[in-house]
Amino acid sequence: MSHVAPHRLASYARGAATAGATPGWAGRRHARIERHLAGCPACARALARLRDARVAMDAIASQPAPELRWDRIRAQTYWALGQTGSRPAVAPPPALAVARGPRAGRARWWVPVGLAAAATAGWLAFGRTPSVTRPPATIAAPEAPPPAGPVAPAAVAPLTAVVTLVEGESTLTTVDDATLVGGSAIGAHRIVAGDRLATGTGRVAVQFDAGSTITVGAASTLVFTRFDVGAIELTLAPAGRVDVEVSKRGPDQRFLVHAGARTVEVRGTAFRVERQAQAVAVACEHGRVAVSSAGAGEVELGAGQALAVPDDGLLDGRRVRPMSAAELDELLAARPAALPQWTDADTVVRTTVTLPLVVPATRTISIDGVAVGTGSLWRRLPPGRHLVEAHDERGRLHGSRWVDLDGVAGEKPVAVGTEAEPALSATGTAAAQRQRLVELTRALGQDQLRGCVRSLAKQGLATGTHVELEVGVLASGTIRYLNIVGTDLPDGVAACVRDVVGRARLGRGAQVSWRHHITF
Amino acid sequence: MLTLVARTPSDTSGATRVGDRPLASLPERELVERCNTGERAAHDELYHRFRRVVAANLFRALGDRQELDDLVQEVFVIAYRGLANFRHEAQLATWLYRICVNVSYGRMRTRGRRPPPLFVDDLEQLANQSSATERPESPERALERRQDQARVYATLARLPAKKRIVLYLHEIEGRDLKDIAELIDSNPVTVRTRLFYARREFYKLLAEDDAAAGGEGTS
Repeated sequence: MSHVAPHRLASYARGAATAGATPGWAGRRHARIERHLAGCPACARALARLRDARVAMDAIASQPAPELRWDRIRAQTYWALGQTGSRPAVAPPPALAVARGPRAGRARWWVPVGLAAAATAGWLAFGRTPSVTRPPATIAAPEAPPPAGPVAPAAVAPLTAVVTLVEGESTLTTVDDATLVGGSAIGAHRIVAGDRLATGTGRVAVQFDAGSTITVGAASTLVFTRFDVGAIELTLAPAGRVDVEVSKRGPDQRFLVHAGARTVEVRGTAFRVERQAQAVAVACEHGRVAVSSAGAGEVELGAGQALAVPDDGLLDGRRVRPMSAAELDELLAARPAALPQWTDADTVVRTTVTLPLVVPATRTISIDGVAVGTGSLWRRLPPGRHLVEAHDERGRLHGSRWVDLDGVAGEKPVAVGTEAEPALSATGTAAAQRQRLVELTRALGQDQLRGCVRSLAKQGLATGTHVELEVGVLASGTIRYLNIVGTDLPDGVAACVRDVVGRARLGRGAQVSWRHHITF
Repeated sequence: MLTLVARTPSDTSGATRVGDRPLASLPERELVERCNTGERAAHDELYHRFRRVVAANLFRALGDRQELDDLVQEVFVIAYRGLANFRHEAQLATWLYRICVNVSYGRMRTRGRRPPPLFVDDLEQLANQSSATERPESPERALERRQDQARVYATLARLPAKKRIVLYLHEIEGRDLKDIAELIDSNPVTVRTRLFYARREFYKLLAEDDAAAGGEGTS
């Protein structure tokens, strides 16, 4: 006996309600399937499964939108739109892209070919004229080195950077020898050549271009030795760490970082330079950097490569090593996101707002879902509504709030995660805990608990499994919190168990919390 | 660790009161025009009007909540960039739906090159966030429902992206061949052929778990 094909069974399941009334060929096919089903348990089982799947598909069709972090998505959308200049645009969906690609491609390659053909034809037609100089037959000598001695200052426009993040206690010594301490004071200052930034336990980030940021690491001192359109020279003195992301520079624009005897030169890249105890470490996330030293040679680093070299060591390509994924992640996380829209420093300062945050020293702060630092910090942001969250080192949320920044109300410190934490360890007397434990055990729906592990039980996998819950009960009997702290069950099944426990009804009594074990 | 302690922002979920939305009553055409002038409030309003629709479309198509934030963002980035070319020949919601389908299709294609995802967790997260207005459901029934849906998505994930998107649009969204052809920039004949093979493969995989009657053919 041959079985009914599943897709025909599915069609039958969909139209079974009207099968009797279906005229013609379709009706005859339905009748034939019905006759087959009457004598074939395998097909009947398959039909039952397909019916369940049909119900699930109908449920999917009416599935509402899940709750998302809407404000965070909106903020990230605007950030993505603002980053168009420095990052690749989001590819349009395939069907929308069909109309464009090939034509544009064809148009591009004809241009140089046409120009080359025209140039060749012109050269053949008119021959060489006395005014045309042939290229030299020999290889040109390398360019002469720049003359030694004082060089007349070039007329280049100075650059100005805007401070975007101040984490912990930091100090800025301006070119005029004024000393600024703390986020608000440093943040109000525009960084120019000659300024010196010294950090304590946290970082300071500055931005000077769309997508170009300099992040000074903890316990570091960075001097903006030269800071103009022609060149940027930063000096780590005497020690410290700097993470740099710089957008593509022009051929005549230099970017150098001096660390002891070493100089790191870049063109459009993201990298880190760290100088500690008579040694320099350089790590390149993307792009290329050249590490050089007078009399010690030069080494070039590519994307994902790192180099550590003592001050008196020779620069040698063999010291270059590939970075691990964890190192690359750490490098990426060290740089806070740049402000999305950049025109010039004055405009950015005028159109952005600042937010001082007060949090316990061990808390990690996220703004709009992006981790920005640890402990109290000061951050420059686009105006609007922002979600600020404080997490502990294990990722547990300890406070969150919306902050509306309109730039009018002025800079007011915002406290997050400073409220007293709920007591998560066991509380109450042992007798009170035992009483509540017994009460909860009696109140639990045992059938419902077994239902949670039914599918596992069918496979013989449920026996011996357990869920450990942290239960907090108020004096009124309301379950205050219910956390899964340990289980060897799949997440979905453990959540089902937690839901069953959460539905238990308890009476008035002691306010206690305890660890509740459920073993199957 | 999961916690039941309420978070202040989740209570609002970024919800905005109507009083906070001065452009709430703006007609669609005018809203698009104001978006095209770069008005931030207009962009906000467009996002607010369509964010749930976009998220629901993407979630239904992919059954995956983990990447949903990124995908919603991707749809709106594409939409904002393409608004200047929007000619009001269709409703804005239809245009956004088309972008959702294409973004989903793109994600299905890239996913095909990765290990298959686990969907149960995603559905768990959604189920855990059921709103107070939903009909109460026993945990046991909720688990069964989630498992059935997870099975459908897991089976869909085993199909090639081309077949999957066609099958999803026809069998779950209930779109006809012409609609589907327009949405995925194809022609109805191709869609019909693709749908035939997709249905055959999909239902065979769904029924396979019960294939105890091995060795016997099907008609």
